[in-house]
Amino acid sequence: MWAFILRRLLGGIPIILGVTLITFLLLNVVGGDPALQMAGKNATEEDLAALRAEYGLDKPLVSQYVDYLKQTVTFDFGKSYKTKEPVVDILKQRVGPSISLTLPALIATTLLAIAIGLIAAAFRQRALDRGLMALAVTGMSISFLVYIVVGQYLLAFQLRAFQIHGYASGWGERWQYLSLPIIVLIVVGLGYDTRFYRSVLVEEIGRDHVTTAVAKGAGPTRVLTRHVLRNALIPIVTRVMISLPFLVTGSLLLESFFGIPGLGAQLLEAIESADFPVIRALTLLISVLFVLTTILNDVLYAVVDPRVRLE
Amino acid sequence: MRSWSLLVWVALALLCVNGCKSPPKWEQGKRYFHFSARAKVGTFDPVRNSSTYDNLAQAQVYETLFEYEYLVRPFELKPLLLAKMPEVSEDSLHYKFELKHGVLFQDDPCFPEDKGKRPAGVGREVVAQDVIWSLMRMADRANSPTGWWLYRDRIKGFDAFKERMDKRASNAPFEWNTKIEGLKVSGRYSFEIQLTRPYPQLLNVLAMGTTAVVPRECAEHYGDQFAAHPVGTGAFKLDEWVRGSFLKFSKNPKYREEFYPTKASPELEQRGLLAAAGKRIPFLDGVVIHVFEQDQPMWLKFRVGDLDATQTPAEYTELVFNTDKSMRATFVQEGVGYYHLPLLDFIYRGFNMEDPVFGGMQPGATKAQTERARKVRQAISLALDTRELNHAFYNDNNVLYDGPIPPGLAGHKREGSPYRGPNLERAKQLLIEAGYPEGKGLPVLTLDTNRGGNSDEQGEMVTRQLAKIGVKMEVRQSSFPELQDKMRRKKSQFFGLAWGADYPDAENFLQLFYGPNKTPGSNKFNYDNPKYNELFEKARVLPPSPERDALYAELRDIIIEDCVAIGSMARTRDYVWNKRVHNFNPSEVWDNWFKYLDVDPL
Amino acid sequence: MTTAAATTDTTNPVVRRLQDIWRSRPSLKLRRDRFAMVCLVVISLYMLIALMVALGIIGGDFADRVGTNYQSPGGESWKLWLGTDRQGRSIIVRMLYSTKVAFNVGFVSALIGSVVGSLLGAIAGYFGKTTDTVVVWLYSTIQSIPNLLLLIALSYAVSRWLDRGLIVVYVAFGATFWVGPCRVVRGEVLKLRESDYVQAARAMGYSHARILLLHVLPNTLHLVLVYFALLFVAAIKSEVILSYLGLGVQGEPSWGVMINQSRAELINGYYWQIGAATVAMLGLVLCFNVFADALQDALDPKSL
Repeated sequence: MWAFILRRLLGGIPIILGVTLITFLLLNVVGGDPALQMAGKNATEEDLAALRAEYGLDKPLVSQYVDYLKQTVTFDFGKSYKTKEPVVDILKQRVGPSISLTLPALIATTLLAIAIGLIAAAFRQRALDRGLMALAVTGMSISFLVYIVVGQYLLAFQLRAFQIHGYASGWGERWQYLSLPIIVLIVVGLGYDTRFYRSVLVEEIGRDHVTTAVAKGAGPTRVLTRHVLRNALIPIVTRVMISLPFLVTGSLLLESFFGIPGLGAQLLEAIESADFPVIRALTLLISVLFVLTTILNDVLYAVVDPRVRLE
Repeated sequence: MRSWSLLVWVALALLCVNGCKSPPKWEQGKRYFHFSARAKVGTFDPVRNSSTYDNLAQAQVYETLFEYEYLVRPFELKPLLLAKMPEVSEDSLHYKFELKHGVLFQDDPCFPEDKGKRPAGVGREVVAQDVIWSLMRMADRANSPTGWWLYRDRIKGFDAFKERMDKRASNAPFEWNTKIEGLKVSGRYSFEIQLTRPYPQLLNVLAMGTTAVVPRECAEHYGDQFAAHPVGTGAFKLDEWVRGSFLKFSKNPKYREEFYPTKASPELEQRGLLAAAGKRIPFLDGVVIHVFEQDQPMWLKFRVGDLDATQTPAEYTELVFNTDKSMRATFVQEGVGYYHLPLLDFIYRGFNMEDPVFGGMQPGATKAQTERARKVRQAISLALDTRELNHAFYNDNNVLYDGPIPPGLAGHKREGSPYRGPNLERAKQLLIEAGYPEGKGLPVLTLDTNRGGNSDEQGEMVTRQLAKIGVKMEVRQSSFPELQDKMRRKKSQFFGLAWGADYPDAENFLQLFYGPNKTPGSNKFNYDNPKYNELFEKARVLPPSPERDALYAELRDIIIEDCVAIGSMARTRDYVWNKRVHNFNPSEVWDNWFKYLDVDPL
Repeated sequence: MTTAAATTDTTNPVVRRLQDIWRSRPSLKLRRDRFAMVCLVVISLYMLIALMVALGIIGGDFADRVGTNYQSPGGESWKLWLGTDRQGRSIIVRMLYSTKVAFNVGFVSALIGSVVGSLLGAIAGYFGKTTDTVVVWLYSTIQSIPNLLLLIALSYAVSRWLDRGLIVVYVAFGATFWVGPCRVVRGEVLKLRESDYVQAARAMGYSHARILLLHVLPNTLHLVLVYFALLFVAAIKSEVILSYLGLGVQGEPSWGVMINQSRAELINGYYWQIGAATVAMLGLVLCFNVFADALQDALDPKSL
């Protein structure tokens, strides 16, 4: 078991290295000169040169990459070009709001999607199933941006049911600002998840042990919860787990429309101002989390399903 | 099923929000003013101030030597941290300043204990040395200052000092104790500035947010974090800054005795702005600046009363105002106030003069090439219809004008340029004269614009307008850094940009065309005309006078004739405020006026 | 799935494979799915519009003024049926023109994604060893970078060098989209590699290229087809986000551009631009989704 985990962890290293290489190539080599953004108006060539020297941008590319790798290993991502604050501090400040937005949305979406998927699966190939699936596909076919604009206008403004924009740092207060964005996130994700869980559950319902249970006279609720849901747990857990790393980034669009100070909004800001250290750090953070959750998922899978061998 | 009951709870929890919308506790019964910033606030370090909204936020906490009269237009300088206006020598090269006594920095943990006088954490008094040190911070590259160009080549010994500091080893300390000839402390509260040549805009510069007075020990104490820990002398102090969302300020309890103005221009007096005359300021308990990336939420938040005042986004002006710019009845009934603030603004589309076809001023260009390119630019200027742009994108709210000097400043020209479009006949004629009949033989012109807003749509409209005379154009959107990069490499042919006044003087706009300011300086046009340069050098040392204004007009006309920048517009910002706000008289030239505002308590 | 291949005279294996697919049971099943067929008809209609735009029959005048600014829907000319935008340009013309852009973006990016993906996948699966390791590493790496971030970074980088509107979008999408098909094709090829007829082809001394192109890849075509449809949809939807960020289509309308340009107009009551673009996009994306589903269903061996 431990050997398996260790081997998988070692296997993650080349991937992380790949991520560093790609982000480095994209940002440092072809991404343009961030000194221009930092210097402000009426800067002289000397000002620009001094800024490049300050951030090590005047060094050869190879040593810039080595610096970057060093930062990666030590989790010190340098200073933001824009604000000069340590990138780690910025990430720490911003990650909370993002997770407050995405985690409840993920939980609610998953629960709702499983519930709807269960109904659809129970009534598979009948009108209710088809109707629900049509709704899901329609929901998926509308642009995220439209949900945001219309949701904000109708629900928050016309109905005055929610706050329009803003945030509060206190745990009690922030929900009144987060609830509408969370709902938008649920609506956007529901279509995809419902379809996925429906197909998983339909497959499970078709299995022999379910047929046997029904034949033995078990009630429908019992069959669905005991026999179907329990066995569908692996794909459900897998799907939830692979979406975990992306919770950190929050949502670019939602955060900028609703004034939520999360990492999504920060990322947008960083992109607009060519704040490369922030972009690099964020990319790397998510990639590491992604690799780790994949490994964790494999381990979990192996524990749950004895057929998987831990070679 | 379990999951069902859980769902019900989640739904209930979300709906409860509806009932939870009373003002938060900290605000109940208090006078907090809620205002909007239409872009993020980046830094609280004055020397790194680089945007309108940096300014807006900083001005609540920091103070400058001068400010403007709140209720007098045109703008009139008045001392803020100074006790009186400075004494100026006969040759306009020597200035003597005297600070107010007893001005205190806000309390902050960065202040060490002063044995027997002050416990740690209590703000100390501002002295003349603070002013000099604050100016010297501008010469330290480690601070990444954005405003050095305001001092460059003007103050005796300052340039040499900066050069030496720039060349120092990266770990060598900044030489705070160096005596700079032009910046002299002459007493606890008095200091002197010695110039190398007359600088009539100096006092305006000393009213700019970037020249605010900061305590050196705090800047050193916080280091790179100083940008997030402002310690000023202003009427408010920063309580909470949630990046990308809001900034909350509260009243500075130790703010010195200052009073609401008693002097006002007649039209401002008529608006009832003198009602609070002579009362002690500030009236507010605090200020909250909400940061918006989008127009829709900003406007909706104002309409539900969560914002007390805001600017009307261009899209929505027609909802608020009639065609004659008076306010619509529904808004009047709600008690919404408004003010159409003309901005000292130069929105233009300009050419890179070193482009061989459209500029004709590249090194080694012949006179014929220069002539030919000028005709092409004049033709393009004549094809451009700024009225249509103004109608579609600004609801006819912009002021269209000629040349680079916006309305409200000496040297401004409202109309009468022979190259104001649309005049397609003349444009076509000029193209023929230039040897490009119907645009034949002209390469495709590329317009670079900053990404965002509706710049893409504006570009599409300009493309359509130029197509009418056969000039083909493409639009390229870039981020601001990319655009800067293109400019610096002189890669851009034609670009849409805007310049906002740093201080209310046409010199700030005319310097955009001064040869020595060429890329990477502020002269993005790379315009270098010996005659223009000579006149500009003459004009910039003159104090306000008919003679100077005549030179300004002459400079402006050269730019108009050469069509370096075309389609000049100045925006009008339509400020609106809800009934609970009093004393609201917006300005974007300076931002230090929130201290005069009042709101009804919640 | 590989029903009798010997019934045809055509020697071109790709054509042969396509004929097989047409005659196969999945195909029959798909053709019997009425809902999917309706969607196919709708997609064809969209395609027809796109074709007409491409041929210059309609839509060429998307930049022209046809009425006053923000005219509400309805009017004598058909161009006014859906009203005008802030510059007085016809919404319906812009909506129709955008169909072409949608097909451009969808088709080209999906094509790049599925061709590059399936080629790499097939090569990796077929040759195994180091080649496989490298390809797997490459897609694992790309996969672990958040898609949107990569898209943005790519389009940034590309737009600095290639200043040509749509190409930026193609490159950005192409570079991220290949991962899906690559994984699936690799998996399939790993199985196919051991199959009798590939072994037979090898025994006959055919070159690797020939075996790959003529014997292996055609047998993964059904999988690639499903992915193609999914990527098509993904491209159209992602274009909206890129356009919102100003990194998408430039100089011509697209549904993303239209939605983005009208994102603040709802308050004024100008619902027609955002409405038209949303509905137009909904129609195409919905049909593609349904069709892709039906395709997947039909190809699922368990449902045979």
